[in-house]
Amino acid sequence: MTKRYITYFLLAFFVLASCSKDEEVLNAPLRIYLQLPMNLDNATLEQAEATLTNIETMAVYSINDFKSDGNSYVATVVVPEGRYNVTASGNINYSIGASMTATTMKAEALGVEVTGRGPASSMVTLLFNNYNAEAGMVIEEIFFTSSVFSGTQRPYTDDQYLILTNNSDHLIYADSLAIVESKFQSDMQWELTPDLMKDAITVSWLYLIPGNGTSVPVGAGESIIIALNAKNHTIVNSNSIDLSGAQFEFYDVSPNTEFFDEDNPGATNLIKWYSDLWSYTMLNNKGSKSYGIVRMHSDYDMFIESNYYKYTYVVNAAWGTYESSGDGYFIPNSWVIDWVNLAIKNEWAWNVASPLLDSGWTYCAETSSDKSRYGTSVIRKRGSNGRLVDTNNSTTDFMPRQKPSLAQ
Amino acid sequence: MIAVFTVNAQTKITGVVLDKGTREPMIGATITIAGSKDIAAFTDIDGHFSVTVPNRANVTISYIGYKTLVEEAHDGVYLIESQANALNEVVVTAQESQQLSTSSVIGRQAMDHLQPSSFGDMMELIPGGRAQDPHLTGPNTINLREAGAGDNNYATSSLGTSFIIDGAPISTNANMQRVSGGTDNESLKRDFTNRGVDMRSISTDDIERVEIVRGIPSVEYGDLTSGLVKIERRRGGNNITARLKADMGSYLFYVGKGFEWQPRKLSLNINADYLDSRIDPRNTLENYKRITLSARLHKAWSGSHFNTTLATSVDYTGSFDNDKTDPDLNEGAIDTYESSYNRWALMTSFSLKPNDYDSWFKALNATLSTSLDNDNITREKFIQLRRATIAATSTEQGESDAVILPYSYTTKHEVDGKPFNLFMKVNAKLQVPSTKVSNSLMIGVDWNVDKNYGKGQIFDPTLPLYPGISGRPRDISQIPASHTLSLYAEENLKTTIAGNTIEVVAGIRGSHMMNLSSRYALNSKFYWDPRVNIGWTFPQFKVGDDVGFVRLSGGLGEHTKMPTIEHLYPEPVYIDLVQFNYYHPNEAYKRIGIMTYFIDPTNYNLRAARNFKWEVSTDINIAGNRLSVTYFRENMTSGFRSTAIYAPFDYKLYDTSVIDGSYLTGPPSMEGVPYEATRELVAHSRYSNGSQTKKEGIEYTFASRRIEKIHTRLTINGAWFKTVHRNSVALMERPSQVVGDRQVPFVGIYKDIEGYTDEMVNTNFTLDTDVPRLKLGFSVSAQCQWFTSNQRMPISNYPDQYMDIDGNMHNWTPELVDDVLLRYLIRNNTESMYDLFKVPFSMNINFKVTKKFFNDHLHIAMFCNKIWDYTPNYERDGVTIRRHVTPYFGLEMNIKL
Repeated sequence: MTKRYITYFLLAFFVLASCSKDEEVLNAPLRIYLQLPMNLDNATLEQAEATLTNIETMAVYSINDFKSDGNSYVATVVVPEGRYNVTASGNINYSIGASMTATTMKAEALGVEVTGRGPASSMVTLLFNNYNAEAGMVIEEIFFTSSVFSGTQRPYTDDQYLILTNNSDHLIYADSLAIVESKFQSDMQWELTPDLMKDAITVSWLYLIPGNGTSVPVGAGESIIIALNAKNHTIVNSNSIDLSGAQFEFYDVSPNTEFFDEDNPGATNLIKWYSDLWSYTMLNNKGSKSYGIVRMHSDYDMFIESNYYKYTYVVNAAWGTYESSGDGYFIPNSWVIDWVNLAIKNEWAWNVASPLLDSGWTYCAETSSDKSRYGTSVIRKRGSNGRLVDTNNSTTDFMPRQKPSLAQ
Repeated sequence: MIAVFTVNAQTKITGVVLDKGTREPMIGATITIAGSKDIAAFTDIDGHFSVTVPNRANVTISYIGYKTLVEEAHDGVYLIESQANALNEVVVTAQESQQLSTSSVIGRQAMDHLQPSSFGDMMELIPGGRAQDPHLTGPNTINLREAGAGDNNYATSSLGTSFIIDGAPISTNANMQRVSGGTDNESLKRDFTNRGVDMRSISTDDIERVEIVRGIPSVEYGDLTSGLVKIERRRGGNNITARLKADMGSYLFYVGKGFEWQPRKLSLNINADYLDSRIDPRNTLENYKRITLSARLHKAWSGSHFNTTLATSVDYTGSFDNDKTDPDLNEGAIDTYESSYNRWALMTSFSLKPNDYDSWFKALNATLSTSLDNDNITREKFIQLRRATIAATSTEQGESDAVILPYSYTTKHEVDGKPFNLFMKVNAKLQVPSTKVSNSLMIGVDWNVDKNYGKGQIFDPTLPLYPGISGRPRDISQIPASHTLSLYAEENLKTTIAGNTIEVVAGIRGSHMMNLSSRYALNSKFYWDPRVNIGWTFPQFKVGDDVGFVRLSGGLGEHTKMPTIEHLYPEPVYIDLVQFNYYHPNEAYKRIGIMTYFIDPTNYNLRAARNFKWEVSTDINIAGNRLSVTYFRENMTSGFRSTAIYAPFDYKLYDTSVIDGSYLTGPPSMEGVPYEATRELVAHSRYSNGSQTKKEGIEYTFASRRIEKIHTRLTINGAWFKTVHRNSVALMERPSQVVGDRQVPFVGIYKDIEGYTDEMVNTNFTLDTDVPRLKLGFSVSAQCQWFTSNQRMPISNYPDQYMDIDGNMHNWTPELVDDVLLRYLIRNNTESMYDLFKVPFSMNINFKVTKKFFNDHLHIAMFCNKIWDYTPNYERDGVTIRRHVTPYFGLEMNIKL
């Protein structure tokens, strides 16, 4: 309610202020339509609010009494004529499969003209898109190919890492962010039933950055390194990378000698919530799997209980077509903060996430047996403003086959 | 006076009836004397008879399938001629034996025409067989009457096929030549432990005759479930024979010499053979070599009361597999697999037969054979670890520290085996003289000893070939010898009633394993295998100028294969659990603490594998054309299987994060480090009688008489086989998913784990032409595979029971499907996994030719398999499946001097 009074106050102030000017500035209504994503089932909007910023005066107006109108929500605001940047946000509840989920979404329209002189009153339609409160956290680099031993050129798989960077201009807490791997592979396309892909990703493993909510501050422009094994690998393999500076590492506790994993006390262990495999975790070194960071909107018990996903899929193999089934965990797209599709360049069959999360893909391997992939990384581009480029299209946002940034 | 006396005199004559072609004794031929309709005598088990006849009277000798012989009575040999095969008939196919149990007989001519490199090539000739390109870079095991051979869990079928060479079995019960823990293709594909005889190692050149008993064998033969391969080798002759063969993957050289001193009834045969085969002619790194040497002595004595024979032989077989990775393609690193089998075998057999043909006692046979192998597998490999890896080395139960492996090392893992076999067999044949029933009773006993004197798995556990796998060296010479004693009795009856001939072979074999500790259930178990074959031959009938006859026969029987040494004394299991995992950047301060459990995986309740067979056959002979059809069923529910057994094991999960690494001067002490006492469900494998192999099918062979004008004979043989492979005991599976940070702590127990039905129908049409004038023989064989199919049997997705982390068993209930952890016990099989997968018709044409030159001294032969084929593409679910066939050629030269 406070905001509303402020709005009226500001409105009144500008109306009065405008009176003093020579030219007469008239007020005009703007009808704002907030349209929910067409792909959501049983979606409802709550706590919607639109903010209008006058481009010339930088005056700010807002409105929040949106009413449902078919598939849209509508409200009318009266503001001085002019050009406005309009942003809207709201909480959207919708269903994925059998369960309900909630998310915050935002929409934006730039340079909307408000005038009372036309035959009809001004209107604008804002299409809600996935919105993440921490949109500033992005995956800057994924070193998934791992390296080879100098000399023998045999694979050394322990030095994979990811770099997450705060691409915003404010502090972000990284605790309770999850690092996930896609269940499905970009080189093997399946017809899934039920198909949740437009609403959710499906993961084969999920690890959480531990903390109490303010334990892992990441300043604007700062990064955190998440290593498979946070040690100086160059001692073992001069071709490898010193990851002893990594803040976090994947550690898989197992009594099985075959799955022995080193636990470097110098790096904080990620918390394991789920993995398909009883073995130690590794990133797919060919790039058939994709990776993302997720803000979990659910606690462990609730997640394990509600986000279980059992599906069937059709395999079109060389010897025929058959139906198989599998299971995993789904995560609503709206929880996903950043997603990077990876592929083997010549084997790409599909993207394993909604195009809203990533409409492209990046790579290191040209073919599935491409040994030149080892020791290369995918690194996000930086724009002229020094910020990392994030247009949700990894094809253009990433530089493929790069020398890992942490390599000597 | 004398003349009158002579005319009226009754003379006692003794004769022997032999096959005119093969000179084999004819058992149970009927002897009638001119002027009487009654049977005067039957020939005994050696073809002998004795009758009292008026002087100069004629005797009539008849035998089903043979032309009736009428000759003036005399002492000595009577030759009777088969209706099917004219004298000196060339037979280049397998023939159905005349025995009651269904079996295929392959003679020397057929082998010469086939041009085999090893015994495995012979499988083409038996019903259901098809020419295959030789795959000599891996073991070849036998699969009789089987469609779609199952995996190692269904190997009892080949393990239970007994190979007997000149009366001595090739025992594989002590074969333990497998690289323990092996996960690499080099080791896995050459492991044939518990899978019976490697047919690659049997050279065919000194073989005279092979009989493959697919049906119910005599109780004289034991330790088998599925079949019997009887090999008889060449004896006598004075020739030098040499053979040089080359085909697309191998070459073979053989030389043999026979020495025969007929007056002294003494013969000696020696021969040698060398085979060199490569997986690809251009590949010098992966190959197989075989050397065989054989010397066989045979001596017979004719005494005043007894005829005796003594045969003795010494054999060497060397069988060598090599697989190296080209160092140039392997960054200069060593990666080799070498396996050598060196088998020395010594065999002596003795037989004694009385000269008095009226005696009840007919024969005494004794065989003593022994073999000793010196087998070695050496696997050398440069290992470069992809990540930090540890090795547990403690050989005792309890806590210890693991070794942190160096990142690169070259290691050697050896498997040393010295299987020893001793086999002794004595049997006697008795016959009650009768003119009503030809009969013989065989009673016998055999004793088989298997032992392995090898050092077993030899490796340095601190430099393991398979990093991470818990294995320890094991000396197998400590394992006690396994002894099996068997007794048997078999009655063979044959009689003629109004022109019908009825034959019955009925026997029972009892076998018992000895030298087992009382903990074994087998220790007190005697297995009885009753086996019966019955035949009824209807009276001969006339077809124009020729005769025909029809025989119906059937049999049923139980067959028992005792477990091998590996089954009875499996490798001890070490379960190593990481409890204390401390990392420090300083290598010297790292510490990995382990709890080791020592498990004896022996299944003391292991039983023998038993196969029950029954079959019915008909054999129709008309004017030298013969059709044999057999319908059979076999069911073995107790095949040997390696099964996973889960159990909870306690360990301490230390929280090493409390250790302050900066104060260490060495590895940290475990003292005072807090831990959580926890447990884990861990599996080890154990042999059980958990595999079912159910076989059903029809086998047929039609062989025409040679059509004289075109010198050509038609043989049609083939089979329909339907085989089911499935688990016959409930099995355990644990989901691999990790929920939270621990693997799902439940194990599902499933009645059904797997089940496959395989089916196939084939027919081989062979036209063989033999032109004696041109010394030329050739054959064209159209091998039609009408279809092969494979189908999984539906299994429930739900477990029947489950085990919790404490090892307690619970019944599965439907409401558990929603439990966040137990739902992982539900399997993900869908209906379409049970779809029938059928491969339609294909046909290959094979061509073989042999030509003799220089008075038969030189003999050139050539074969081309798949010279033409019809292998159409086919559709499956809208996908076109393309099939490709490439021809396979070979050429050989035989010299006989």
